[in-house]
Amino acid sequence: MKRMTGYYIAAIVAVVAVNSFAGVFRSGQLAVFLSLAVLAVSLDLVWGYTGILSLGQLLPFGTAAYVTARMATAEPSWSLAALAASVIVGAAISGLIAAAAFYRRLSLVVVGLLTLMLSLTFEKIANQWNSVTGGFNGLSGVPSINLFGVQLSAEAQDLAAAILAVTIIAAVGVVVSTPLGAVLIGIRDNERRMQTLGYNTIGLKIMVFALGGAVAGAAGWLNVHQTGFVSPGKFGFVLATNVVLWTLVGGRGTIIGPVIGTLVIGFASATLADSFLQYWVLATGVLFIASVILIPDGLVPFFLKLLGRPARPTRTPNLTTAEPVSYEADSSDVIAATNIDKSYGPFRVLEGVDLTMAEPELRCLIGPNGAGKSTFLDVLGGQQPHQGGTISMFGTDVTNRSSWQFARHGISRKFQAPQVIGSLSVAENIAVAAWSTKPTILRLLTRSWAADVGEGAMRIIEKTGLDDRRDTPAGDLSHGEKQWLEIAMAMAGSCRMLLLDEPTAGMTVEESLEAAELLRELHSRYELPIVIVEHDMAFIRAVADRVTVLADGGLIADGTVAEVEADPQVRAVYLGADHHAA
Amino acid sequence: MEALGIELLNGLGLFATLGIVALGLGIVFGLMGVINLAHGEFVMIGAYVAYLVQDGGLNYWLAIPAAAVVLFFVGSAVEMVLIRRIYQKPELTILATFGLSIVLRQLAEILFSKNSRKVSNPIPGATDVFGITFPTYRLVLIVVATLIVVAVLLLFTKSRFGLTVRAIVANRGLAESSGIRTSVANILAFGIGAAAAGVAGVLVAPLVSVDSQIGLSYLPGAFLVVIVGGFTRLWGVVIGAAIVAAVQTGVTHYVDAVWAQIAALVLAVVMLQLSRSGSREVTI
Repeated sequence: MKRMTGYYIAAIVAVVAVNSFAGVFRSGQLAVFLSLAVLAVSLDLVWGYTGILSLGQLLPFGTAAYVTARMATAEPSWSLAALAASVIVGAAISGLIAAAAFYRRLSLVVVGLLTLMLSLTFEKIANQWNSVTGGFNGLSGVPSINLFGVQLSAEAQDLAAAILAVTIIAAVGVVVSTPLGAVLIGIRDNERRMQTLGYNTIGLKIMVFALGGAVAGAAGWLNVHQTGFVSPGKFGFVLATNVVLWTLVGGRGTIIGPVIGTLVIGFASATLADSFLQYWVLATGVLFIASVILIPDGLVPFFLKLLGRPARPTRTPNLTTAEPVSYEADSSDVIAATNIDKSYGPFRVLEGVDLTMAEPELRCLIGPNGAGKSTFLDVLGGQQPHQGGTISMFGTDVTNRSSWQFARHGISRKFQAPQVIGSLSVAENIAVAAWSTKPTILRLLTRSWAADVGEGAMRIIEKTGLDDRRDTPAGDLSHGEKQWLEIAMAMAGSCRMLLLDEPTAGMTVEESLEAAELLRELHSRYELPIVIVEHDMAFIRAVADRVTVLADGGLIADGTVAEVEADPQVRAVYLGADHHAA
Repeated sequence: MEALGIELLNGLGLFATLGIVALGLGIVFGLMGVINLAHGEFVMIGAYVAYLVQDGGLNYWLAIPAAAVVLFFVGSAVEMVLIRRIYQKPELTILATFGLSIVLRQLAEILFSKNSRKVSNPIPGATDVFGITFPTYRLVLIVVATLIVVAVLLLFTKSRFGLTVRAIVANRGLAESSGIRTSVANILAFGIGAAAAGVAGVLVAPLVSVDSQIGLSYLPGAFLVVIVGGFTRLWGVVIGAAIVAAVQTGVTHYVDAVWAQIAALVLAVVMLQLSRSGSREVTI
């Protein structure tokens, strides 16, 4: 925060210096490019922080510019009302685009295409809709900013617009440095993990797009006040692509990168384009290709890497042990899954599977390859929809809820391949998991960099040595450490039940016996129900209260380890004998 | 009645040209998951080939094989130099091909200046079709374009090469380990997609003023076709082209061109919401 305040003050000083010494022309130019930098930063918010390339950032920007132009030319004192309108309209447009894109989980490529089409269509509409947009010539004679009835002079306008732009950029910088920023990076790096922690990632992404739209709207307001006119040519396809170039070259996910990209390329094009327009445009194309091939992360991360520093410094939030949550004792079953049917297209994976767990126990789910174990665990954790049957957890019907709703109900899941958030530190991973109990945007924006973590998770990081590596990026951990980090994340929030898919995969014999011991300890200490999919019989003998056997999508046996091992049908399935004969 | 007949023929012409342009996009997207934003510029190069052929005193129709060959090599080169490095990152392919589209447009502008060039109509005159008088060349265009679309579809569905390509689409890793040289198939697919675009450029050249910007006007329509067609199989491109051509021609006739584009866009969004295909990364 301190460093950011320093940057902010330095930027303001620079702006004032330009306005005092560099002359009217340069000051005006600076204000224009800073307003475009705000646009680039809004793109960085959606592209850099949610990982989705939108070529439609121009829609909120351009619409806001037209709204402002109409309002301010009608009545100059409506300037601030136009700002409010710009922000609201921008947020609404981007939110709608995001809703259309994310609810159907369109792929990155399709979202890119769709937003490109929107930009092209926007330009056409602006050109055509004469009565509102002024058609090809656009709207001109837009007055300067009017603050509470005071019409700014040209000089004051240059200074005010530049300072406002720097302030908006700084505000976005503050937003992404809050815990919300870490959550957004989590969604960008590993959306599935975030969903299974209890984050409504689709909702969050739509909100971030809306926020980006609001910022772009403010940029449009600034830009039209600064330049005094708006036209389809100015807000068309060329700008839509230039803003992507600035963000790409500067370095997405850094906020400052796109600002630098905008200012440098903007000033270069303003200087060179007059004399060498054709070659300058050619150079932009070459620059696009070159930056994609040579420095796809952008200049700022590239130089930071040269200096041996990460593009985003990781943090080490303070982790404290949370008060254990006590749940009202009731008589309902822990798990009651009945008659579960699940197919992938025509292929039926599960047929009428029942699983009941009356008391918290440590249950292992075994079966030959292709039996449907992992799919069944996915259904129990809400990661996969199922076609038939009902699921009730702790007496609440959760049938066909989404993954994050299962997680909010205390059902925590660990995947077979460890899923952690690679660019966040160990402590940030745990904190993000713990914050999932109160995952609203407002709470994430205002909370401190500290987390109350479930006791089980704290025990795991102490016992497995992760405690000493709190500041290490999770991507740099070993396979085994990632496994434990993921289990710790599963237990960091409001965990009432653990679903583990092959937790010992890739562990040595000693490690998996230690794992068995730790899981038994967690189970008995917190009366935690645990369901584990496993192959390793030594591990199963060491941990399981009870074993359920699946084969060919159906349940064939259920009992203690000894009972199941003696079961002729189970032996037949594993050893290949004809089980009707047996 | 006659107006409707003319619109029908107009729609067929749009259908045929959109079909060829979109087919190239569909091949590249279906096989490699690459969105090629420079595809429109391949159409532009094809149109300039037609201009150069005619300008050199040769027969217009020679431009079709010439453009196919030129664009095949351009497309293969683009795959080998550029696309190959970034298959894994779809957003980077969007950006790189976008940069390429700028480069190609500017090179054309520098080489041929901003002034548009005229390709003269190889078959002037009009023909009566069921009592409707329609320019003969545009009738021929419909026939030739349809033949090309059918030929490319047959190549990808019936030939051994088509089988190879479909094997790669179904499972690239397995295809590779079964002895299929996927890198060669990529080059060929990109080359054929570009060649189709080039031929489309030759065919439309006599109907438009050829300049460096014409590619831009084909791209949105072609992408809408690919979206509406549903990414899943190449036949979908034909159906998509039919739907988009019908909507655009119909709305243009009854309202205007801007609403036609909005209608096609809305249609694409609706199709994406209805089908699951948009969420799949790579299919054919």
